[in-house]
Parts: sequence; C-alpha cells; structure tokens
Amino acid sequence: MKIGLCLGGGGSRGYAHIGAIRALTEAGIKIDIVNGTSIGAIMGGMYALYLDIDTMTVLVKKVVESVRVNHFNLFRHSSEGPAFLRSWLNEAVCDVAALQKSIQSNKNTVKALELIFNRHRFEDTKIPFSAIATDIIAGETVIIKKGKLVDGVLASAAIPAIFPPVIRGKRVLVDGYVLANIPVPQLRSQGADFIISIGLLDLPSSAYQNGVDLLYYIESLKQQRLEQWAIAQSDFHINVDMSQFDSSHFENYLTAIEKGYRTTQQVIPQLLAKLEQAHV
Amino acid sequence: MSEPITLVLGGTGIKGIASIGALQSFHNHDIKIKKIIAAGISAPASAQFALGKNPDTLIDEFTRFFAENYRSLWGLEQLSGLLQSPRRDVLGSFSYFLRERTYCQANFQNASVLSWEKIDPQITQLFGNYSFSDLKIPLAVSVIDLKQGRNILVQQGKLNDCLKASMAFPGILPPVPVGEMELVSSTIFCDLPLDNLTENDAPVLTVDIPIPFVGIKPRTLLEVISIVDDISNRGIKEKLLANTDYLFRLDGIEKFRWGDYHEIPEIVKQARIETDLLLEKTSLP
Repeated sequence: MKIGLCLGGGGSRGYAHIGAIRALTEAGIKIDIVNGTSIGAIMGGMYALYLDIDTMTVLVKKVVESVRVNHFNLFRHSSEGPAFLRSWLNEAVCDVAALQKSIQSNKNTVKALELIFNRHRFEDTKIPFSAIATDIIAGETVIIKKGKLVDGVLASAAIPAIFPPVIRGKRVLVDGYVLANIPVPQLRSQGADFIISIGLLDLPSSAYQNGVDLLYYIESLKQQRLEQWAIAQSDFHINVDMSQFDSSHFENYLTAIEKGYRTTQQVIPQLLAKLEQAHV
Repeated sequence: MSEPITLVLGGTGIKGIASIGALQSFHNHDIKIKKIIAAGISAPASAQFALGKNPDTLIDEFTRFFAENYRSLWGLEQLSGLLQSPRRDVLGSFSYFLRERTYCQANFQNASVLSWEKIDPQITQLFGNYSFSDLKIPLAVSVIDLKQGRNILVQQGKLNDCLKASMAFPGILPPVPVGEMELVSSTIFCDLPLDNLTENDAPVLTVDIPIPFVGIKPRTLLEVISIVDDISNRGIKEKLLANTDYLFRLDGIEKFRWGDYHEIPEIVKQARIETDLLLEKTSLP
C-alpha cells in the first residue's frame, strides 16, 4: 500500500511543511509518493529529491539569505499604508493592470528555485513527485511530473497577477491553487492508496476598504470551499494554523517549521491508528 | 407532472434575466413549483413571478433603465466583453486600456464601479412595499454574507434590500447592509445557487445559463484575474451540480455577454424557446 503526502499552497506559510515532514519521518511513517501546489510543490519537490529534512532547512536558509523572495500581494495590502503612498501605488498598479500580465517578474523565484533544485529533473527524485499547476487556456488542473524541476515548480507557484504565467508548450500555466490548492484527487489518480494531506490554515479578514479588498476576500472564500472538497477525499488531514503568518514574507521560516512540527506531532497517535486500521 | 419541484435559477450579470423566459415556459407547461432558489438578476425576476405580476413589467423596467443610463453604463457593457475583444489595432488597444484602467481605479478608490443611486428608485418602485410573505411561491434569495464569510439563503423580511444584494456583484455594485449582515451577490462564488440545498428541496431542477469559457492567452493582469476567477467558478459549479436532479442548460444564451443589456428581450425569448424544448424532451417526476 502506497502512502502519499499531499502538500497545500499558502506562500511562506509553507515552511511549516518541513516541520510536518520531520514529525512524520520521526514517527517512522514512510512516504512513497508526494505532490504539492505552489509552496507545497517547492517543499514536496525538495523532499522527494533529497529525502533529508536537514538539507531542506539548509537550502531554505540559503534562499532566504541570498535571494529577495518576498512578494508584494497588492490584493491583500491595497488599503494599507499612508494615503499618499497608497494613492501613488494604486495609480501605478492600475497602469500595470491594464498593460502588463503581472505586478512583478519571476526572476527572483527562478533564482531561488535554481538554488534548491539546481539542474535536477522530476525523473531524478528519490520518490515520485508531481507539481500541480493550472492551465488557463484549457481551464484545468495540470499534473507536472516531467522535465526540469525548476520549470515545473515555477509554474505551480506562479501566483496569478503577482507573477507572470509560465508558458509550457501550448499551455499557459499559473499557480495550481486556482482549482487544487490541496491536490488530493490528483495524488489519488497517481496511485496513492493512503493520503496524508497538509493544509496551511488562513483566516481571511472580511474587513475591506475598497473593491479590491472585497474581491480578494471573496476569492479566498472560494478557495476555502474548493479545499473543503479536496480535504474530504484525504485519508488523514493535518491543518496547520498559520493564520498569524503573512504569506508574502519569507523570513520567519524557523517559526513556521516549528509550528508545522508541533502541530503534526500532536496528531501522530491518531494518524498511526488510522494507518493501522488501513493495514499499512 | 405531479410532484412539485424546487427551481434553481442563477446566471451572471444581465444574463440572469433569461430566468424570466424559463419561468414563463414552466408556467405555460403548468409545472408545479414548490420553491424557487435564485441568485443574481434571477432573484428579482423570480420575485416578480412569485408575486403573480406580469414579468413583462420587469423586462420593460430593466430595458428602460439601461436605455436611460446607457452613457454611464457603456463602459460596463464593454467591460463584459473584455476577453471577447480580440482587436489589437492602436484604437482598439487604447480603448481597451482605458476601460481596464477605469475598472481598476474605481475599485481602488471605492467599493465598486457603480453606486446604488440610480438603481434604487427602480427596485423600490417594483418591490418596495413587498415582503417575502407576500409571495405566492416561496422564494429563497442566495447571497454571500461578508460578516459570516459564507453563502446564505434569505427567505424572510422585506424584499427590497435583499433583491438589491442579490445583484450586488462585488467590484461592480457595493455591498448591501441588511440588519447585522452585509450582503453581496453569490454569483461571484458560483453562478448557480446550489450550495444550500436540503433533502426537502428534492426534486431539484436547475436552469443553467452558461457562460462561454474563453481560453485565450491573456494580455493583461485583469485578463489573468478574470480567467482565473472564471476557472475557479467552473470548478465550484461542476461540484455543486451533482446536487441537482434535473439540469436544463440553455445553450443558446451562452453567446450573450454579462453586460449585453441591449439584448434583454432576445435573451428572454431565447430562454423561453429553449426551456419549452427541454420540457418536451424531459420526463419530470
């Protein structure tokens, strides 16, 4: 019986996945196959490639220290900051919105992913791994399991409007969160028998000052609904409460890792019981 | 047909007006309706029907409103065709840039592009004195309560504000405060209000007013957001459609855009014809 690990998206909150994987491995749970969306794909790819938590932590430290990976989530922060700055920023963003495909380039994300994955390919991973993206031409979720890890994971983490879509053949790919932030059905379709999914809980605020805040909030409600359906198909779901973490700031990785570790450790007895029931 | 049905009606933007055509067809075929669950413009259309009033009045009101306000709504009509404007010449691109920028700017400065000022008198004139208890067929209006952060059905109280809320598409019209709640249209979540069905609602007949999926390479950030929003709506709708017993998909309405208010009479007519045909083909319980 194959145990699958499904890692959800959520920006920098996804460092919690490292802690969660540490807790799982310490409990002797052997992962046979892994997939992930966005940061879940970055962490999942790293684990599948190195199968070593310490290496993952070292690589994350290296990225945080050498690449500027924080991104500006306009849709979350559109009504924050001093009025004059907001006004200037909003004007600039309106021009960008009407002329370009994204607020910023993915140059730094590529640098970060190259530090992590080097020239490795999906075929090089020690256990099967796939990254989940959304094809906006076909309007469907895509499972990426071939080619360079940097390219596949980049598409999975291309947050629409913040980063540009990634062209891959005839496909135009953005972050997989659009339909599959916790890609449980996709992992099932790849042969996982028992799926452990990890979600990064966020509690979006309903307070709004303008239409952009409002649209962002509604979008998060839609994602929550889609996630609920995916989680229902998981055999064991671990919800790490990351609502206190800002998903666009990547410096607090140690706290996030610790949070993932503690949360997972607490549910290990229930997970082991569930695995035993399933005769794993 | 002997067993009364629950009718689910939705649709994005002005296309929800197609519900009038569907309701006329159900009425002509003597289909018994025990409850209507409606979202978007389908809600005022259903309220008019459930009050036993002539739906033509509503069509006339909507048509007159848009005819009188065409100058201020021109941008909205064009915006509804953002992804369907493949023009890339200088003039087309410039006009496109201006429309997108206007939409974006309005949503940074305010809660939406339009205000209720011009729409309020029309809604009040049609529904101002009525409550849900005046309806001859029970109606549940699907909206999102921002305070609770979820999709809810409103089935009691005054009709006026609730029907406004059903049309308050975020980004286009501002939220509507009703008591402790702050309501917006649920069509932004899913264009069909299928999220709150109960076992008692069975059998459920859903009228789907489809939106074309435009799989094109996006040129701008707003196009990216628009496509992504459409994809997640489709994902939600696909899941929720499993809750319906009968699905009437009005394919002929697909070609219309959500801001095609010039086409209101044609949309209604087309919906009536298609519903007639579907009723002839379907054996309801």
